[in-house]
Amino acid sequence: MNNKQKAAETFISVANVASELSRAQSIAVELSIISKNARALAVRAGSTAAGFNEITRFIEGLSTLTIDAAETVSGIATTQTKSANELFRTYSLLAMLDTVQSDSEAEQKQQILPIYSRIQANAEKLKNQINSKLKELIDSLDETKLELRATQVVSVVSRVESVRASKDFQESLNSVADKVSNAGNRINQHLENARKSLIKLRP
Amino acid sequence: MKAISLYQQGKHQWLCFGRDPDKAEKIIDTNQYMITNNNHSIILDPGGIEIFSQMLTSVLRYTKIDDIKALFASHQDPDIISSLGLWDQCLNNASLYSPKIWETFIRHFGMNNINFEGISDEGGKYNLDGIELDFVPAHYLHSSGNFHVYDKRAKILMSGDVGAAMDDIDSPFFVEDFEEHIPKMEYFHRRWMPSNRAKDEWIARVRKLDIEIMAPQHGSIFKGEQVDNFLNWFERLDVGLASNK
Ligand SMILES: [Fe+2]
Ligand SMILES: [Fe+2]
Repeated sequence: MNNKQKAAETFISVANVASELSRAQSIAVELSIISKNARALAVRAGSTAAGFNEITRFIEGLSTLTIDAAETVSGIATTQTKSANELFRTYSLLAMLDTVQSDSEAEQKQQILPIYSRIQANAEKLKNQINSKLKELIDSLDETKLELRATQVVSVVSRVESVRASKDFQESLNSVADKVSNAGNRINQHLENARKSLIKLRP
Repeated sequence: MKAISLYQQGKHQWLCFGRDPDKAEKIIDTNQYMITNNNHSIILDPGGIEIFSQMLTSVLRYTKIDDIKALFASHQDPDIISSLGLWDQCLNNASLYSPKIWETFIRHFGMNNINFEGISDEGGKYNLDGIELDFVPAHYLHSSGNFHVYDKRAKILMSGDVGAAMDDIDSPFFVEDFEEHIPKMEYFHRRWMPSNRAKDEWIARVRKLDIEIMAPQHGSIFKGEQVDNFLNWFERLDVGLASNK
């Protein structure tokens, strides 16, 4: 793969990451609604579901965490898409200058040389910038994924709590557990997709 | 890409670049112009991205990169100025002269270093190291913000898309037989030019100028009596019609 293709690959992948993250974000919003419903349920269930309040607060926290992480990552992804696009254009220009060089006489070549090295230095700078930001993106995704593991714990705890609740509420509480676990899995899948996109760009 | 000299008097020269044999077939052929005087050059309608490397190679045979002080874009079309983002990275301290109303659109082609000099509707002037160039209004011909460049000393009018002909890549640089040339121009002028009123105003304005050469952005160039032939034909033509005839 030449430089130009690599730069194109970068901005397409980073744009993909941004879109995966925005999907994760809307699931996180769902999660926040689930948590609010669960809290209302806990109030109605009364003392038999006291442990549930704690859980809903925890779900709420997870949802905020995902939304925040998605925002940060998509912020980085947006600037990265821009830089990668700029790099792509710079490589295109360098390819054109190669043509100019090979079609020119010595005197014209001399004129192109300083422009060429200036633009090449610029491309190098952009490339380094992009690579270090890519690393930052991957780290931030890993961190969020780690914290999301807690959704599965929450789900298990919800099920345990539901056993203690009165019969009328058991079914609803179990359904909360299912929804939390399901949302967690889906968010996780999108983060994983985003991560895969980034990993293959690693220099 | 071929190059011909349209005018030369001392260090004052007009060059036309075009008829590029390496150009992709589906891209419209364009004429690019460069006026130089001493160590000062301006490129008129520098062209699209696709022809950038041929253009840069060609102009460097006649000028130094640091002598290119200005670009001129008659209007916002991609065949006129989509190469802007590339020139932008190669030129130092250059300005782009272009219709003011198109600034925010033209910037989509990428412009971080070049300085934008918007030409207001009534027109303007450019000082090419002592030689005065006029930006002559040609609005709605075909673009709603549109200028031509007139050089009184050389008696040349660069007329953008006015006078454009869809012609073969090996067509002559100058119009030889006007009657034969009409079919290559007629549909383009009728279909692209939206306003008879704008056309008539432009003809009246241009008839006051002393023109030896009228140089369009596509096709052959009009010289001597062919300039009058064109103006008379254009005057009779009904424009602003989207019919195929
Ligand atoms: Fe045009
Ligand atoms: Fe054109």
